[in-house]
Amino acid sequence: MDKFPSIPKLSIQQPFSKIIEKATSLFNISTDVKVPALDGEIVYSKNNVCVHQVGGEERVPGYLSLRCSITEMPGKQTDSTLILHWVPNMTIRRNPKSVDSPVRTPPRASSATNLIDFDSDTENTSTSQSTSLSASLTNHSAHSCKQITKDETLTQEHSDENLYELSVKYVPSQSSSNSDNMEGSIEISTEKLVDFSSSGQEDLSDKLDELGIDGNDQKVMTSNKPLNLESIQQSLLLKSSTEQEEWCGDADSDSSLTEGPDSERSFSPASLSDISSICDVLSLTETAESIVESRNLMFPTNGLPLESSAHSKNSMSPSTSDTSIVTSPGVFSVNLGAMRSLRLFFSEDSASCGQLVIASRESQYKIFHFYNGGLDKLADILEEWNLFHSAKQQKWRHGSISPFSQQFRVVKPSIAEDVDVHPEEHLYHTLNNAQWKMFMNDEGQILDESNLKKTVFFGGIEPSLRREVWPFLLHYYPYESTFEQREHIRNEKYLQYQKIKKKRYRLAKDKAWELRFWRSVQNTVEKDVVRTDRSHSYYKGDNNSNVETLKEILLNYAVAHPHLGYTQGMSDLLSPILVELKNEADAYWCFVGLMQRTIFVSQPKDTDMDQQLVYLKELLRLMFPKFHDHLLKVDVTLGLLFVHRWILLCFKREFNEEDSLTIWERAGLTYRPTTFTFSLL
Amino acid sequence: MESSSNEHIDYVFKVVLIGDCGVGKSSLLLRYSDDFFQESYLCTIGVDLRIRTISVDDKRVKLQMWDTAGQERFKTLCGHYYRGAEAIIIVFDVTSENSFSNVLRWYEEARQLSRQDTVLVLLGNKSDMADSRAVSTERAQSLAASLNIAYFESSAKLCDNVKETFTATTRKMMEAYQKHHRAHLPDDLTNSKSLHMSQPIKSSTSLNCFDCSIM
Repeated sequence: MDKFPSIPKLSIQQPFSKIIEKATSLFNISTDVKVPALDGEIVYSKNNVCVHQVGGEERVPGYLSLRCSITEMPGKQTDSTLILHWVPNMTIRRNPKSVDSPVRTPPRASSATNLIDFDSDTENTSTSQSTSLSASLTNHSAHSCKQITKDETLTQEHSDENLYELSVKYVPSQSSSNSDNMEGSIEISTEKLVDFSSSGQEDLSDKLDELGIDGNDQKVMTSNKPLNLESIQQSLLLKSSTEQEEWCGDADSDSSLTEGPDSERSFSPASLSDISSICDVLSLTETAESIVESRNLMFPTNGLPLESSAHSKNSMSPSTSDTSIVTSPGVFSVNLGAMRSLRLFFSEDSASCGQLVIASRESQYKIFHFYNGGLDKLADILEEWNLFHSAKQQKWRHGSISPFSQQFRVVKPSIAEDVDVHPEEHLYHTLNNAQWKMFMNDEGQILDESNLKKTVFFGGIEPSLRREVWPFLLHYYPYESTFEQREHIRNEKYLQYQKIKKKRYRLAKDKAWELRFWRSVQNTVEKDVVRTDRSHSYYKGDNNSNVETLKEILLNYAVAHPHLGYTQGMSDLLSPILVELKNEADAYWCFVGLMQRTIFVSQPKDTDMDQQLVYLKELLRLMFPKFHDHLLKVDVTLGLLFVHRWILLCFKREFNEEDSLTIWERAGLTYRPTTFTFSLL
Repeated sequence: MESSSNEHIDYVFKVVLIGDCGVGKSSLLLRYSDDFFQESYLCTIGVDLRIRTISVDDKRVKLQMWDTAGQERFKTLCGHYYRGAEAIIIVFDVTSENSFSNVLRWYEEARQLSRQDTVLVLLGNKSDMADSRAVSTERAQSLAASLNIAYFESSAKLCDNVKETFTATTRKMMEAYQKHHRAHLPDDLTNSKSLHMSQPIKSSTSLNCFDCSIM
């Protein structure tokens, strides 16, 4: 509904001639690909695009637009880029004009006329479509949202690419009520678009097809390798220019407006259903965030301050000096051409809802949530621009100037394609003995703990090494301990374990205690150990002493942790540890370490398990909507109760031993970069 | 599994087995649904489901049998156990005095959390272990009588009286359903999975999901 949503509505409210005009321009842009977007023209806009707090608590709806920015340089080719501009609804409500300030600021005469429409509509509250938009925005912000736009965290990973200018800006909302400040916040870019010829191949009919699912699917699918530049990534010339100052100029300087191609404008008409569905959807945003986070797209909030704020471009505008990281609600404006990548994550089949993730060169991430569609159209726009830049790139290759490569990456989540794996996947090999020794210095200390954890997480452990590595993973031995210290720890822990044992025997002399203990713990333990992994060679056969050891450990654990006692499932978790360590006291302490990370310790409130199931339901809803709907329909999902065991035992019973232990090691025991995990964190 | 997906089903009943750990709930269901027995079967974590479609008095009945964990500490599950159950079978181990003494506790919980018309049944398992028997048939019968519920004894190991127990329970569910159906309008049964035979089940309904145990 974003590119051409206004046509039916306008047809009611506007003179017939205007409809013809619009239709004509529509036709023009679709068939005559040589007609480029004009400078300052808004090629895309969408209301109620949400930005989340990092924690996922605060969701701020706002108005997002993409504006074409073209800089003509005398004697040279034209630079063009897209400027993304996002204004919180709160700001719009306070100052309806804030929406259009980005469009008005361009000095070029070619600013879009729809801007004018929008202005007058909002001001005189006539019954045009734009009015309904602004009303809905206001409504919505009143409804829901707190104000904070979150954001922007970063890492240093790509700091070597500092030659690119990052033009991200934040303007506190307080100042955004002032239109001058608003303009100051607008990001400036000076890209030139050289060649439009090869773009825009779509048929008019395709363009008019608002759903365009098939088309989208094609457009949207892209690179298999995250950094594969050749095939999909298109390059965009980025050149610095002196013209930014004009952009920062006074809004009034933008007086001459010419008609741009209407077809490229998009005001998504707001409706009551939009609003209500947004409110509905707002409660689910945490899951959306977690999806993004689980793909490791969200960087820790304690990242470095935005280096680029000091760059010359930004310093052009008065408000850029304080751009470091502003978490207060504010306008977000960025030059897409200067970004490292753009990714689209679609949350459903029709590929209209989901997230737009913008990654800056400094690996700052900004996530926009599209709950009410519009993402498909955005994909269209980006696709078009890719084509432009592709053509241009070829030109540049023949030329003498090497352009700065830019990427527009449009990614559709798919497990089959390798696009969604963690960037560090496949970089680590299974931890073998030689590597393991390498991690230790002469005294046996493991100095690079995080690298070890990463190796285990991404590569796994050779089974024969588990006996040595698990005690570290399970906090039995500190990583920095020396051989000597570990020997000491082991002796200490052995004595400590014997004390627990003695305590149990001492308590058992009290018959009342013994009976109580037998009823609440021992009875169940005895029943469970004889049916825990009995097909495993370590526990096979009648009167196997290892089964007795299993029981001893569990009973001692229950004595030492009376508030936890014994819960069915613990024997399943202990069993592999004992198999690997083959020592009662060592296994006990490793089990203690493991239990600290399991969902068992959430007893007796159970809220953790409930929460896990809620997360899973939301993930299903987002990632497998059809399956989710099916589960809803059939009513037999038992509230996903069948997942209960997966979570409780971390998939131990769902896979064969080797696989499940690998899952334990990789998903649970160690390094975990993101938030949502099953049980062991 | 006896049922095929297109088969006509007259009733779908949810049967829940509860009782202490290790009394043989899973073994009973394994015997009944798969005719299989294994010493020291895995302890149930969470909940398992088994399905069997049987014929009782010329009616096709699909039994949705819930196998619960004897030690349930996760309240998430508990609410789901009893909801909509047409029958609850309280299982104890005739060789375990302790499991028998817990029957009352299980009974009270089931009564509290289930519907009024839910059929409750007491089942003493491991009847094959005569040597180590701790609870006599008479004691169990008198307890059941005092609770006004039926009592059965079975051996999952020897496949003794297992099928009969489920058949008898099914008959009681059908009686209860008809009684309840006469007393109330069908609208009152929204929570029930029972379907009268006038409502043939389409092949595409949820029921097919149970053609195999999902756990």
